[in-house]
Amino acid sequence: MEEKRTLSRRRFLQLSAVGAAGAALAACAMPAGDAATGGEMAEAPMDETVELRLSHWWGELITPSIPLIEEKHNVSITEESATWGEYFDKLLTQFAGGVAPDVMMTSILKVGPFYTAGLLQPLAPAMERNDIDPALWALDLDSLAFKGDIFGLPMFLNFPLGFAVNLDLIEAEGFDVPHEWPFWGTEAFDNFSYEKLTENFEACTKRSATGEIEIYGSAGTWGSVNQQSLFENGGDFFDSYEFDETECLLNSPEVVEAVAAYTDWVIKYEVAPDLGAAQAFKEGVWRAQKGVVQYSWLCYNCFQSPEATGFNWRMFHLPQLPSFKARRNLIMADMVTANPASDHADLAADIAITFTTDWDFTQKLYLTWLNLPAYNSGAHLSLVEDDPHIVEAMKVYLSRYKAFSEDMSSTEGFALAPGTRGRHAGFVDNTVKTEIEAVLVGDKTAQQAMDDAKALIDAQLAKS
Amino acid sequence: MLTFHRQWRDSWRSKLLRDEMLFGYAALIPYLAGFLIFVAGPLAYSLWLSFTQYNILQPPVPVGLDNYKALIEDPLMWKSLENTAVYSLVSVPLQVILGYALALMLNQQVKGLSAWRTVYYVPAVVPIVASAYLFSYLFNADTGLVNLLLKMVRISGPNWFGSPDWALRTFIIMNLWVSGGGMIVYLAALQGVPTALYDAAKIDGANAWQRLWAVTVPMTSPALLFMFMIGIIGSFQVFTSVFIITSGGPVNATLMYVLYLYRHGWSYLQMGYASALAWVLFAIIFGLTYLSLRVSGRLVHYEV
Repeated sequence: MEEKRTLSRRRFLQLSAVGAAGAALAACAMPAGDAATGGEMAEAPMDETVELRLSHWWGELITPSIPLIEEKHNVSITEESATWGEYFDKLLTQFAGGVAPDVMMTSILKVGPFYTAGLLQPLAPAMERNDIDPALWALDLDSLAFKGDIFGLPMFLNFPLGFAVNLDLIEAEGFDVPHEWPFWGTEAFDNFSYEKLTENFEACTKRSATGEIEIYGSAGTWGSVNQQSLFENGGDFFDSYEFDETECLLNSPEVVEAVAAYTDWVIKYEVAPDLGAAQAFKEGVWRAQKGVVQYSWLCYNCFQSPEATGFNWRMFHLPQLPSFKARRNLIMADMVTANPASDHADLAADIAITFTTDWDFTQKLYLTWLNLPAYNSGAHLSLVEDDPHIVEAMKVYLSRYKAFSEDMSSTEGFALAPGTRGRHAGFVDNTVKTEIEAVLVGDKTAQQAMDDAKALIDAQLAKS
Repeated sequence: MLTFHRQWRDSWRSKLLRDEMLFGYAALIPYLAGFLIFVAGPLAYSLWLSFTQYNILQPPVPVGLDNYKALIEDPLMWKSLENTAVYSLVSVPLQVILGYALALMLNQQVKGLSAWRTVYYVPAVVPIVASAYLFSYLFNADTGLVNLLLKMVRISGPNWFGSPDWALRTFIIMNLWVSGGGMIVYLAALQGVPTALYDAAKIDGANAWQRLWAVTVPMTSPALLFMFMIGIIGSFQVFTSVFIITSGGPVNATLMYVLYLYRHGWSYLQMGYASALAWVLFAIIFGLTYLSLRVSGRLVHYEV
């Protein structure tokens, strides 16, 4: 009889499995007031300190300003900072697990799936509640809207892509450039031609007796399409930028010309490093002073100060290609958004507003990283007047905006260009990168590569 | 009385055994729970996901076998599989041979034996990220040490990671760096070979080469098989070094299967398709392991 009551191994394992599965389900089940249902919960009483989670990839840049928000909204904020490389993987996982943060930084580059899944809170009511003056936004907020709603507020005014020249290297090597660089205050500022820039690159490329390149005229590796040139040339990525695109337009003559212009610096003129060459230097060819001109965002901190680089540099705009149509800055906004499923959804939206518009907060950020907030931009300008290098960089950065420009010729026909790469941004990025690599290694012409990119992207769009 | 005593004793023993068994099972519960929650559960879930369209942010939508059908027609899947197969089938045998050769050398009575063993084993414990950066500098076409050395003997080195023709080969060469990792296993196996067998072989007139093939290799063949299988399983999952150095380029020349899977899951937000890719990889590795074990029956010598 005794034996009969013994738990059989099979029975025990079955019970263990059931127990563990139950434990797993219990662990996975959302707690009361979780992210999915929390939006319906009442806000905390005013005298209680509410705890909110804020996620971003700006690391320590933001941390010193957090107490300002905590004090203003009587909240305790837990920062969740991750590097750009892993930030969105983490955020996606948090949403999937129902534990998304209350306030989040997002990027126009990655925000498509969040928009289309309805996971972000429309911020218009909070803007109205906080008396935000629409006129003080220095960029068109509608350009950041999705189906008419603003889901994320921009943290800074968009800067253009452009170049920085290492002046010390030119002097040290004795390079004799045929054309005056189009720096601030010169006649060619923002009107420099592609041909002239190419000739300058050639003049700054140093070759050894055996023909090997010792210093590149252009330090950039053109691994991905230069989107700003594409738009300035009159090209387009898609037929729509509302995350409902149906056709890729990358094989237009305007885009092909832009792609060829940049890849030609590597394969035709041989003034820029080919694939893989830039990896030789920890912080890139330019920082290693193996290249004279670097390509990046025209923001002061993208190039870092001369003290940090160890050499003097000045910046200028992208050259105008033969088919140039108009000046464009890409909308590359880092945005602050609020989780509609937060336990304190209204408060989260208010904090998103503070994050992007509060004078104390934005001036502190501005003084740290020198990019103008998109809200009330002009008021911040006077905060930095003592460093002529910074002041010149700011003038170049703002030269295309009528409200701030000191060179009105640079504002002619200026508009913002879409920064999004649609609802399949990752696929589009990889496809374009691979096709441009095919051009750089000589497998395809720019036209063939863009035809193939269009076909692949169109097929992907058709699937969804 | 005697019968009663025997019954009591048997009953006591069975109670003891039952308690012991229950304790054993209870001790297993943490592992079983962990296994179910963190391994079996996600495995089963990913199998289900492979039959759905799932973008992480919205609920999965069942699509039957669509992901598997699409996978068969996906040229990049085949390209990534080809790259991975070439990488595995070339680098793993090379790694096994090199590691085994090192172990044979370091199984001799040489001066500074411990130091040599340490030197050859160190690469196995260097973080992959660090070694990836190191090799991207070493194999740089313009300024890398490898091409500079080749230049000294008047050879123009290739654009190692920058050329579609050379990038995969460069990863295979790079992977030899960790060959010393298997050396520990081979050394343990070599030191388990009975010296009597060598003595007998010597008496029979076998030279060193014959002793290697007739005694050493057969006696250590289980270790060789083990390292080969582990190597194949690991190399089919290669990711970090490729992700850091080339991101699959140039022109998909180093697009490995797991990198392609990662792209679909996290970059393209096609987690259903990525799950299907994962299960196909599982089937491939399972098949290769099964095949290795079947073939090894004829090649591997197990001491009875």
